[in-house]
Amino acid sequence: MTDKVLDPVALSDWYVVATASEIEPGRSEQTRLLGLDVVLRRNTEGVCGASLLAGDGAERPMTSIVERYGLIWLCLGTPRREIIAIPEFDESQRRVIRRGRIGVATSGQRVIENFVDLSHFSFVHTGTLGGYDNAEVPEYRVEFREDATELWATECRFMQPKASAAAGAAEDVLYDYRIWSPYISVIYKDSLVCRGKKDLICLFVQPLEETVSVVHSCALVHDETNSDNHILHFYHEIFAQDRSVLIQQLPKKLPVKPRRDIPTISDATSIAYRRWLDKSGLEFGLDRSLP
Amino acid sequence: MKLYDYILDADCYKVRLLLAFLRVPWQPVKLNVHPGRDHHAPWFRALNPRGEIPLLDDDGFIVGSAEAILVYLATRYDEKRTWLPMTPTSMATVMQWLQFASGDLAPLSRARMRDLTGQMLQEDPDRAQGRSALEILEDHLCERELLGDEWVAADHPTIADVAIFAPTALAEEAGLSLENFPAIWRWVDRMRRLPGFIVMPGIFPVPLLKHDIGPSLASAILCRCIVTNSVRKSSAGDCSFPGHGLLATERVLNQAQDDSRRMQFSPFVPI
Ligand SMILES: [Fe+2]
Repeated sequence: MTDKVLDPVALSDWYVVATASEIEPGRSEQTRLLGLDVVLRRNTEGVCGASLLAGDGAERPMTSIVERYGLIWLCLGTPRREIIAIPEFDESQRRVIRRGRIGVATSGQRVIENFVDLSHFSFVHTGTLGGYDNAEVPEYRVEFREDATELWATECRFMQPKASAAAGAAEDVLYDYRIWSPYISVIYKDSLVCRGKKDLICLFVQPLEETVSVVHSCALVHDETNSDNHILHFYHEIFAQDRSVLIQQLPKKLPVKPRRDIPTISDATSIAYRRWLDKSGLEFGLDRSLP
Repeated sequence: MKLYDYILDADCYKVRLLLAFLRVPWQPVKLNVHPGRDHHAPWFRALNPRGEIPLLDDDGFIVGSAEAILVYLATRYDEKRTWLPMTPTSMATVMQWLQFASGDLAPLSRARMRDLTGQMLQEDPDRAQGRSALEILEDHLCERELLGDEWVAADHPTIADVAIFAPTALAEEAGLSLENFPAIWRWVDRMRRLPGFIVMPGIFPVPLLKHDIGPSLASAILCRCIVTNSVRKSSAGDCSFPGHGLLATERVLNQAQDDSRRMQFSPFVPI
């Protein structure tokens, strides 16, 4: 890839580009990030490095590469902040289910907007996360935290027929959504096994191109009865349902300019997310044309 | 009865679907195919040296390959013998279309799994091959309809329909729209209305029409939904019209109905 003018906002942020265990010592893997070719290479000592691949095959080493939470994080420019803190990765009573990479032919922002949208549960995840009888989306709070670098939707309450692989019966489940970056979001939802504790669903989008994404995701759950594969199938089913809706959405870049919307409660996060993206100055993956 | 199964695999869905139609009870053995590649693990290779799912274990009898499993289940558990008719001509016709499902349509499933697991190719040759196979199927179903038959290989559904349904109905997930395949679309709709039908991610049930509305009201709701940039935009998509798939249209319609009920707007309000 030759030097082209790149989005400075996109370049100064962190992205997950691989699961750490994918790349064994002495092995390398080629991937893409923000439209650029990247080579990840782990030396025989086990240290993983990254370099940008130019059109002529030359490699330019990258310095901002970190392994955390069993994932490889990369920033192609000068990082403007630390990687998201998710201390729950270290809690021993949780199980970490890694869903592997799932490809979606759309912008990462579409993926995140769908992730934080409560209103699709009943129609897309009928029988697990929602049902036709409980399609109402009650009121919830939307707020900015950490000097407005994070967007949160809290106190989202939703009746779910089967909220997790471990859920036995339908329950009213409390959700908090945390949008840490345009491409990274974490759900904190009530555990139905460990009362008072939260299960986490983390979504890390790797934008390959503006409208091609790979989604890395982890579930950090309390579950003492189900096998890893049972839990994996539960989450694969849910995300594949999202994916089949996402690949139909047009335009693939997320529009951020206000449109003629009918404002409803369930749109509050979506509207806040789009406005937040608009203000951030980010260009990559966004449709900034006026309606 | 045990089925070595992966939720996102189209071939496994063929077997799950026939088991549902036949109402045969079974248990899944869930494999981590992606990202774990369990199907290549030594313990699974010992059961199936080809390292492929689905694999059926019926009380010690083990058989692999979706089409072979369909033949076994239909022969063993379909007392009326309709899913695999036994006359020489009808059986040969079913077999011919089973070959089509496992051979001609395989590129479609390969392209889909590549996209799904994040290994997308810019120009996927399997997608072009898949399209050619869909054209053959479209022509065939058109001819069948002209003859007054609604199914692939007989005047009733057979395992050929089941085997062809899975990769075909998932074509949109392989990046191929079914929009220009109207006969396939009508047949997909007939399949979804068969008693016992089950879905998998990427395949949606027949629209649950909450209120019995006619086609003109339905399209009025749909138009409003699209013009207003869709009420539930995140789930329905900011649909431009035309150009979104039939599946999307159906979902928009479904959601529009629910929205109109919930928000109590009249679909006839001028925009
Ligand atoms: Fe979803």
